[in-house]
Amino acid sequence: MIQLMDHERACRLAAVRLDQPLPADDAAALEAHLADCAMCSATAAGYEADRLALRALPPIEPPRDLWARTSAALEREHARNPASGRRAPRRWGTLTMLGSGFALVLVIALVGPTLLNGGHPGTPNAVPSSGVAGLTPTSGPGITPLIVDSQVTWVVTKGSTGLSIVTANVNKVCPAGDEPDCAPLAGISRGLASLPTVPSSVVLSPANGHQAIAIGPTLNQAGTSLYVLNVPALPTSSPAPSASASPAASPAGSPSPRSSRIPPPPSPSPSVKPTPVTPSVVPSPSSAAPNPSGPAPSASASASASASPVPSVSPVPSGAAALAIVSNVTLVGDEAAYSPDGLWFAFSAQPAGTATGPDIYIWQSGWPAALPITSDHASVFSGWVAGQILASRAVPIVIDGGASPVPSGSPAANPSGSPVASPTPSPAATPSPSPAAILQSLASPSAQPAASPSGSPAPPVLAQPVAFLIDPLTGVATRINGLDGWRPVVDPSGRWVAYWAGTLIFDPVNGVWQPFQGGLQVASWSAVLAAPDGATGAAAAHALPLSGVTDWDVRWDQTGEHLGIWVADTDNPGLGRLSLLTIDQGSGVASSAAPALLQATPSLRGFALKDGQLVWATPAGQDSLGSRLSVLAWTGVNAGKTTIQPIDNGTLIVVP
Amino acid sequence: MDQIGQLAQLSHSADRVLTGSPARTSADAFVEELFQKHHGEIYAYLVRMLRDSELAADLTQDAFIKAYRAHDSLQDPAHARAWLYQIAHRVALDEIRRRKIVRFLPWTGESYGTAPSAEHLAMEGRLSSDLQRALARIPERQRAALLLAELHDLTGVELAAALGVSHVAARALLTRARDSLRRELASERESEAAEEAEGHAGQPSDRRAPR
Repeated sequence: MIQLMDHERACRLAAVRLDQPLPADDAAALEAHLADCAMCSATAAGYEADRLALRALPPIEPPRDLWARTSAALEREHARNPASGRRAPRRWGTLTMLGSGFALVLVIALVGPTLLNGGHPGTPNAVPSSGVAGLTPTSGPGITPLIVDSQVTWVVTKGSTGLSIVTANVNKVCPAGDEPDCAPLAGISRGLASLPTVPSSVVLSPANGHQAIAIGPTLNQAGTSLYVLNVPALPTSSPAPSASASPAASPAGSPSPRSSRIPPPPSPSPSVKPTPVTPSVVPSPSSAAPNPSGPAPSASASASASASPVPSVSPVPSGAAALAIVSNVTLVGDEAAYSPDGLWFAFSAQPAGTATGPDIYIWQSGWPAALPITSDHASVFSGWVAGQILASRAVPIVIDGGASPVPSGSPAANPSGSPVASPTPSPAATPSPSPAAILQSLASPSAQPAASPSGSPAPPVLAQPVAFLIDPLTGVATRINGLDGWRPVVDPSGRWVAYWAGTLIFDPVNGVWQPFQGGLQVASWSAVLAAPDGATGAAAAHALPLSGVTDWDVRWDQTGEHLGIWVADTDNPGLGRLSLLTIDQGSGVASSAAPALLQATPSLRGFALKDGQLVWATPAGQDSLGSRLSVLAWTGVNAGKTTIQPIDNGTLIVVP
Repeated sequence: MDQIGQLAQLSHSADRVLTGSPARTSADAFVEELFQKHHGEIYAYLVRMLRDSELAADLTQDAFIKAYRAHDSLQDPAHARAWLYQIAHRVALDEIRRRKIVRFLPWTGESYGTAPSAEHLAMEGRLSSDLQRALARIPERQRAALLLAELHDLTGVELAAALGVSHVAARALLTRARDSLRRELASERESEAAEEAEGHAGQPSDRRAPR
């Protein structure tokens, strides 16, 4: 029997039922009352609305230094009451990994040494380490390891062609000089398919980490091949890898069910087939088939896709799960990369042994081979921005008593098809003397010009870089009028772009454009997008404190606050020096207030930079040791390092 | 018996479950892990209770210090979260109580504080919705019950433990909180409507001091 109830009881029950089920009688009585009582019904609806509004309140994030403050307070607490059972302050327990995701979260800051003074007089002083600069707690007693929560991944070779991918948790790093306090990293090893040759780099898909692309020499040929590899999943229920964890190699296998975002192994019918684009809006009458022996890419700048010498792309299954998506090419640039969603992989290449100039290739799971998306033989992929390919192209400067752009030089068609502004050397990008003067001086008998097919000296070719975006789905190219930059790289937050500004010179032997005069700089990405021309875009750019740069690899962290720059040695392009710069978020200037966290440290080609963590491989011979993987983690001005054991046999490859 | 006492009767080692290793028994390891798991939600709870992000950070630190001192009292790690919320709740109530005392001190013309930080002002801006102003006006124990139940997803048992009351009392508190919030929201909206009618739309509507 349904009992009548008064308004007060009805409203109370309407609130109570949000938290617990009502007895059947009460529930029925309430429903009956609400059906007839507009006031109580409105109140009940109000309770529901309040609940929804409460749950929709914005999340509140804790300050990043909260652990540092709390940890310091705990230290003080221990100092006041040593019998409280707290362990020695320099021996913080290793935190259990609280998640197995690949996201890197730096959550805890270092306790400043001043907070620990006096409490533990027996702590030895730390000795600053060369190469790591700007660390606040480089010395003094009581330095505490920096607690971090991240993962690093690298590849080591096994035998002549076998590979293992290793993932290790990084729980703490130690301030410079205290690295011995941080046990060397060791991780869980997973076997990969054997490749015909030992790769030089491996790129892991950001979608789920179950697919990778290995880049290595083509067997018995001079070029390079790219192989798709399946990466076995990490054991889902395994404990966090530790220094004592023994490698648990498993055969290369198929992706786990969790890899659903990556499509299954290649199928014959690509889901999307790109149309090669020729990003020249003004075809040149002279744009015929490329001249493999000629040093004049301008003449072939508008070569059609059919004239493009497509490298051998026959699928070459290698092992159980390796597929060659392109074979025997010369890779151009270090920026081969997956799109952030893991659906696309892009790179720049040209057929090995030719000097035709590079084109941009794309590939996605399901395709038997990578396909060129440009056909101008002068485009270089340098990254992804908002789902689009960011690329640059060299626009030759033809000298006839003065510099002038090549008519077909505009690299990109804008969607409307209207003419694109001629590349105008920007004030910041234009070196002195002028390109015309440089060309003329280089063309003089005292210079070393490339030989033309006829044997007569041919003048070197200079070019001005321009940047553009390509939609991988439609192939539509859009010129970035405000960016006259070479190999631009935009930070993941979309705030900054780093690029080479200056002139390029053509290398007729290798068929690629090389930086000539200019330098690396950083500009506001929004500013260059909004700028009407390169000069305007360059006006707000800031040069990076590096000189003599001809071959580099630039990577941003997720926030755009740090920029890693690897600069190749001129004598050995596989070796170089790695720096980590802090970019002032207001101006874009490499900040002098927060000094570089790493300065010109010897490093092998290839490094990884995520939020708060830089990973690189040291060359063999450093500190009389073999090649080893180094990890620098930081928060604010505090930083620390840790390493893995040197690799005595085989090659160490950092996986970005 | 108070909730901590009840929890203390349970027999498992907190360290054993929190760390998975019986060898890790020290207080610092316990607090480190507790912090890793819960510091974000504890901080958010204190921000919402006190409407002051800087103070909330200080009190989060205090809560973990208290947890460190009292870690032996928690013997069932399954209740570690509620136990920590209970500590944070008491820290918050102590602070609110202290504020009420301070409020009655005569003003001497001297300023002991500093200008509010940009972060503080930003946080105030984020908390300036009518819902949050209304939330700030309901009694603090009711506010705590509402926040813990709706935003922090504490179960009935956890809510009772965190508030340090019986299960029945916690439910009653929650019901009263919903009613109080309803009335404060209505009052808030009436005030806004009245201000708009008077042409004072630019005036802040938070004319009444929080409790």
